[in-house]
Amino acid sequence: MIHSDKTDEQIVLLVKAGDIESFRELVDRYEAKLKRYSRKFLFDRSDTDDLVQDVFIKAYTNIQSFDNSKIFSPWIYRIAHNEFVNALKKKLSSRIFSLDLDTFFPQPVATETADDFSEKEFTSKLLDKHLKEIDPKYREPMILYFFEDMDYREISQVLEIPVSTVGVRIKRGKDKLREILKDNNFVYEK
Amino acid sequence: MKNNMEHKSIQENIIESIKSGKIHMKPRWYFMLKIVLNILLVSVVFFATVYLLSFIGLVLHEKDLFNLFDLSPRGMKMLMTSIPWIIVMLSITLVMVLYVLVKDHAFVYKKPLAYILFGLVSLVVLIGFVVHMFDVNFRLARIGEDRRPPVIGPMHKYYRGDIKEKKKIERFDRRMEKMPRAVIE
Repeated sequence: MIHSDKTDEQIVLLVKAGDIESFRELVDRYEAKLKRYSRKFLFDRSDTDDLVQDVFIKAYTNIQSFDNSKIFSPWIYRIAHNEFVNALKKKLSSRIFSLDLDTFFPQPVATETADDFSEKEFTSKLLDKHLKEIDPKYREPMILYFFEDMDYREISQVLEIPVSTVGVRIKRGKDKLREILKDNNFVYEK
Repeated sequence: MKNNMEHKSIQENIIESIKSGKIHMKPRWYFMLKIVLNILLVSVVFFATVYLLSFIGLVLHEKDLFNLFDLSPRGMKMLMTSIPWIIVMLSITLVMVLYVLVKDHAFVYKKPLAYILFGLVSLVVLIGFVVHMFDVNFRLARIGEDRRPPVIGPMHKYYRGDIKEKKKIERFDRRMEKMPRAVIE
């Protein structure tokens, strides 16, 4: 069954009503995106496909908790975020993203400008090569912004942090990228 | 081709697992129940925090600290030794528990943590203050002082002494107040 004319939220309604085949369409729409997200966030892991499969299983199990007045995409990315962070914690056998001063104190509001969009493609190409050298705390919002094309508000919903903190983390991630490029004798200027 | 195979396997695995009943969709009532339990838990923890604040007020009232307190070193020392610090720490812990219970809601995580903690503390203190305005005899804080329930009973005994003995003295004081002056003399 193909629902190319339907929105994600409309398909979710069908799944909630018991239409199992409609869930196939949701898997089809998000599988490649979540695989890309997991590979960029977790790197050389052999179990990224298993993790993505677990994300879909959890999405199906908990689909009745999805509020249809909201957008589906941040909801499934939130499940993926939890799954990937747990996998990362197991690997590092330590807590990551514990109490964070970025989310504790208010931050100046960071807004997206037209210049940012023109810079996006240029930055994403450079970022792709050096993602591994960036701290996961900054890496994740950068992946969602530069590769998954989410805006700050959607990233805020996925990571459950204030919108201003998303802006601060992306800015710090970019600063780190500049440092890395400088160390490699590459000047980060568009 | 390989990608196509992989793609099919994930999709097919999930759909087959659903059809064979290996994966179940949790029913809507499960999530409704979770929300109701969360609201109940938040209410219980919130009122427990207000109760503890009221209890702190009662302990300080019984030590007459509100009348005796001044900014002299002696007054400050008295304040420091009179405050039931364990109860204060317990109240702070309950505020942290409140935060953990509500942190997944959008209206909470969208705000900086400092604002949320400040808001929660202010709300608890404000409600505690309002309760105190309408409950000058600390009826809320006195809950559990007679029946000696677990935790609350020993807490009253530890900070306020033997309540039965205290009540006997209070009753005696009230009788004395009602008696005509000439009879007492």
